[in-house]
This record gives sequence, C-alpha cells and structure tokens, in this order.
Amino acid sequence: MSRRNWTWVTTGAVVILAGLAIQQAANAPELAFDSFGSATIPYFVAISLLVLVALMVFEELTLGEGLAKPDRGSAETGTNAPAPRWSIGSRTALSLAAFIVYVVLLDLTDIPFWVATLIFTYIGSRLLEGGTGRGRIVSLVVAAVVAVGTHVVFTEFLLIDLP
Amino acid sequence: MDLSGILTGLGGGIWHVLTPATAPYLLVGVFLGITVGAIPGLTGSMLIALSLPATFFLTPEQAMVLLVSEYVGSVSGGLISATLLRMPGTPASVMTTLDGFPMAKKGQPGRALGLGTLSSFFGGIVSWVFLVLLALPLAEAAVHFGPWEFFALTLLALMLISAVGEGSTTRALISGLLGVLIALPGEDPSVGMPRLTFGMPAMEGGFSLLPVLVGVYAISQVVSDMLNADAKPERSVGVSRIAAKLSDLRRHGVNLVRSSVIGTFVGILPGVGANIGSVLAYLVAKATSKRPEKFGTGSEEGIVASETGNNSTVGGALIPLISLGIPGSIADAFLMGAMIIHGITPGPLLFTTNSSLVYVIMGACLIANIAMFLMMMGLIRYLRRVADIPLYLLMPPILVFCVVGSFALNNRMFDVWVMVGCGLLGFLMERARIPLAPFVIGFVLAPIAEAKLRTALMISGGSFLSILDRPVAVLLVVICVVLFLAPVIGRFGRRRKTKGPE
Repeated sequence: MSRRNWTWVTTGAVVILAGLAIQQAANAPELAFDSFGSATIPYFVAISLLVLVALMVFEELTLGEGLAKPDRGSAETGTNAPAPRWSIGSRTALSLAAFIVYVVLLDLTDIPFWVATLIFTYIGSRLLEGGTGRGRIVSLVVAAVVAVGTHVVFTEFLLIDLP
Repeated sequence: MDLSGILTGLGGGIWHVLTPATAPYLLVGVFLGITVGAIPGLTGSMLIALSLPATFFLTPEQAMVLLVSEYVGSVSGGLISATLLRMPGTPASVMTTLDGFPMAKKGQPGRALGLGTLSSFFGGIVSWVFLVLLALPLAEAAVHFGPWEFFALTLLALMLISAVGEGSTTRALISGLLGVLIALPGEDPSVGMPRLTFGMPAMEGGFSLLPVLVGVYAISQVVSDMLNADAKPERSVGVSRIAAKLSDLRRHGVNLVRSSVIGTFVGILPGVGANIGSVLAYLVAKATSKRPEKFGTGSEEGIVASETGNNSTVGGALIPLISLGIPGSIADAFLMGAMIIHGITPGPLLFTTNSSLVYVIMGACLIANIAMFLMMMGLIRYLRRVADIPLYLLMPPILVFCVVGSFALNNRMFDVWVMVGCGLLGFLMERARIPLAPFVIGFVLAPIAEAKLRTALMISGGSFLSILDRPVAVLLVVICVVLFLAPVIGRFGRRRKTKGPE
C-alpha cells in the first residue's frame, strides 16, 4: 500500500476516534461549581483533530506531502541466505494474525500461559523467517526458553500473575 | 539548599546506588541497555517499557536505578551496530553510522568503537554535571508556579515537540492531540465522575499508561522492524582491540565540550530525544571543522560529535523530568510512568517530598555512565555478536513481553486489548508519517494540563483573563503561539523568496 493510502486509512481512524469522543462528550458530567465543564476539553481536542486532519489531507493533496515512494515493506537482503517463500509483508501480516490468536487464546480459554506462549513464539518466528527451514531448532529452543523462563521468573520470583 | 546540602545528598545517593542491594540492578540495567541498544530495531524506551513490570517488586530507588541504567546503556549500545553493521542500533546512533562504519571498513573498528565509547562517557558525565547544577534551582523556581504556569508549561512541552521534531508540524500536532484524546476517558480530574467511558466499568479508571505506551510505541516499532527484517546484513564486522587514549580527550576537547553542551540543552527540550542531539552536534561539528570533507568517510570528529551529542541528552532530559515533572524524551515519559506506578509524583516538590530518590537517580546516572564505559571497553568484542541475532527470533518474544507488561499492572486482559488497539493506532500513525513522540508526551501530560487549567479557572471564577496576572504563564503562552505560527510564517516567507522580485 502506498504512503498516501496509509494516510487515508489513518485519517479515517482519527475521524472515527474524534467522532466517538464528540458523541461521548455529550454525556459528560456537569457540575455547577465547574463552569468550564467536563466536556469542554474533549470537544476542543476532537474538533481540533478534525481540523488538523483536514489540513493534513489538504497538504497531502496540494503541497506534495504525500508524494513519497510506495511502501514496499521489504528491502534488499544483501545476504547469501535462501530467499524466503513469502513476501515480508505477508509474513508480517501472518505473524500479527498469530499474535491476535495468541491474545484471544489467553483471554477466552484456560490454556496455560506457557503453552500458548511456546506455540505462538515458535510459530511466530517460523512465519517471520519465511519458510526456508533455517534455524528451526533454534526457534524451538528460544520459544521454550521464553515460555518456561517467563512463567518461572514472573510467577516464582517476581510473584506477578500472568494471563 | 546550599552547595554542601547538594553534595551531601549526592554522596548519599551515590552510596545508595553502590550498596549490594542496589548495585546489581545498575549493572544488569547497563548490560541490558547496551545489549538492546546494540540490536538494530530495539530501543531503550522499549526496554524500559518492557522492564516496568519487573520493577513492581522492587523499591522505588531500585526501580529507578534499573531503569535509568537501561536508559544510559541503550543510548551507548547503539554505537556497536552503527559501527560494525552500518545499522544504527537506536535512532540516536544514525549519525555515528556515517563515520563509524567507514572507519571500521578501513580496518579500524576498534578505534571507532573506542572513540565512540570515550565520547559517550564524556557526554554522559558533562550532562550529569548539568543535571546536578540545574535540577535543584529549576525545581526551586517551579515551586512558586501556580496552576496557570503549569498549564502553560505543559502546553509549551506539546508545542515544542511538535515544532522541533522532524517532519510536518500538522502531523506532529495530530499525534500530540491523539495522545491527549486517549488520555481523556476515565475519571474527570475535577468532579471525579466517569466520562467518555461508553458505559464500560473497565474504562472508568481510564486507559493505563503502560498498555497505551507499550502499544503505541513498542508494538508499532515491532511491526516496522518485522517489515524490515530482511534488510539486516548477516554478519557484523569483526573487532579485535578497542582503542581509545586519554590524549583523545585533549585532541577532540573542543568538539567534546561543544557537543556535550548541545546535547544537554537539546535533551532539556521536552520530547526532543537523543537523535536530534546527535544530529545537531554532528552538523555543528561539520560546519566548524577544518576538514568538513572528511565527514561521512570515517572522520573521528564525526564519531565524537555524534556519540557525545546523543549521550549528553540523557542527563539533559532528566532535568525537566525531575524539576518540573515534564519528560524530556520518550524514555523519560516511561520513567515518569514508572515513578507514578511506584506512587511518586515527579515535579518540583520531589526535592521536598522525596529528595533521597532524586539523589539516587542522579547517583545512578553517574555510576551508570562509568559502568557503561567499563563494560563497553571490556565486553564490546563479545557484545557485538548480539547484533547478529536475526530479528525473526527476537520479535515474537518481544510481543510476549508486551502482553505480560500490559497485563501485569492490573491483572486484567482489558489492558492487553488496549495495548493491541493502541499498537494498531501507532502502526497506522507510523505508516502515515505521523511521529509517535508527541503522542507519548501528550498522553502523559494531558491529565496534568487539564487538571491545572480547570483548577486555575475555578480559582478565578471561570475567567481566562486571570492568566494576565501571571507573567511567567503569559510568557510561556506567547512562546507557544510563536511556535505554533512559526511554520506558517516560514512557509509564507519561503514562497515569497521562491517567487523572487518581480
């Protein structure tokens, strides 16, 4: 996706956030002794954001702010390593999808933290590596150390609960 | 407080840092900082954010020693990969790459690393001296500040980071205001009732600092690193002996002192981090050099300026944090978060309410610089290997630590989802070239700014004109207006110049 298209997507996200803030500010509490009001800052910030986003779009369209090269995501490797099977964009997207599944598993199931972490860390690193088969054992060892190590350090030594 | 009081406090702080109960955290912090700094893509701010949960069981002093040491180590560690891999380990080392790598390729990697380490140490020590000399007087002046002054000061911090940072001012302001917007839900600072919560009980406490900052800053950084994972070269340049001499201090004395002062004062500016300090020191060194043509080809002056400039921002950035409660950089915003989590309110009253902690922070800054110098000189040959670790092995564990860090504060998955959502927002901002630093500063400062503004208005019966009775506040607001209008005036001026005389 080009830089300009990313700007449009971000503009949409900012407009949605500002809209939500304006909608919620309508219900903000008001008290007689506070003449400024609880909703004033949210309104001011949300409206300022809408104005600034409009200005950003104007800059993008007229002043050449958005004429940057398309974002290809990957760069040249400069190594003799075997070429990955998938593009770096696809690998990143798959890894992030795996991360979301990991968070969902932690939130909605009773699967132990270390098991979910072991699976995610291994699969995540293999996806990022690109399926060339390099460093499978290292990935597994790293995943095991991270999963078990985090569990032991946080629950046994730091006495901090894990998801 | 007089000089003897400062020296006594400082002695106590340094002694505390050197006790067996605290010193290990300093050594671990510096080591972790250098290691993370040496790995391209990982930054000190990320390390501090991810280490925060591990500090919950520590005393505030131990926690701050660990985090400050990580901060010092990470800025220095970036030198290793910048010199040996031609990839800056942290954004602060970008300028070091220009001369460090060519020098390494010419067969002098040890010389480049030695000179860089010595410069980092010198910059760190000079900025520490400024920290000790300026923090207390600034805090004493700030004690007399009322709500209008603090409101104007937070406004100035937001304007400064938008005006001084790289890229479009419009985008920087969007970033800062987005940070403010995300800080608004939760308890109203004046009436204490929930607002902007969508009726969700989980939102009544607002969005916690750690998930938001970890999401916006760390997750977006991880995703960007993933997208550039293939760009990393396979192996770093080998190095056998680190070479730095005391005579280098004399030979590069002017450059060292000038770059330290530049870095320190850049560090004091809110939100303007080590990368700007390094760039500015490098450009000034080049402009004043007798051999500017050597810059970019392996110039010693370039390495000295860049490394002195970036390390001296650390002490500089701690000055507004300790004295005013305003973070001088993104890493300082995380340090401020750590203080708040440990029940400490940074600001001018810190010298009164918790002076021992202030001196421990100062002591940690000094000893961490010394430890950094010794570790870098002794271990750099081995530490360089961490720069060779492939990113595909590092990124998934970092995402796991982001989850653990977000969850650990309140033991609820809601915070993890906040982190994920903020990560998405941060990624979109990064793709749209909206800088992240103003967001962080905006998020941290918004509650203070709003509370102070509304307190000032309640005192004045709702009249904005009461600010006119406070000359310092008026001055700060005028500076804000000038900073806001400067890009517009600049653009108008450039257009007229381009058109030229008819």
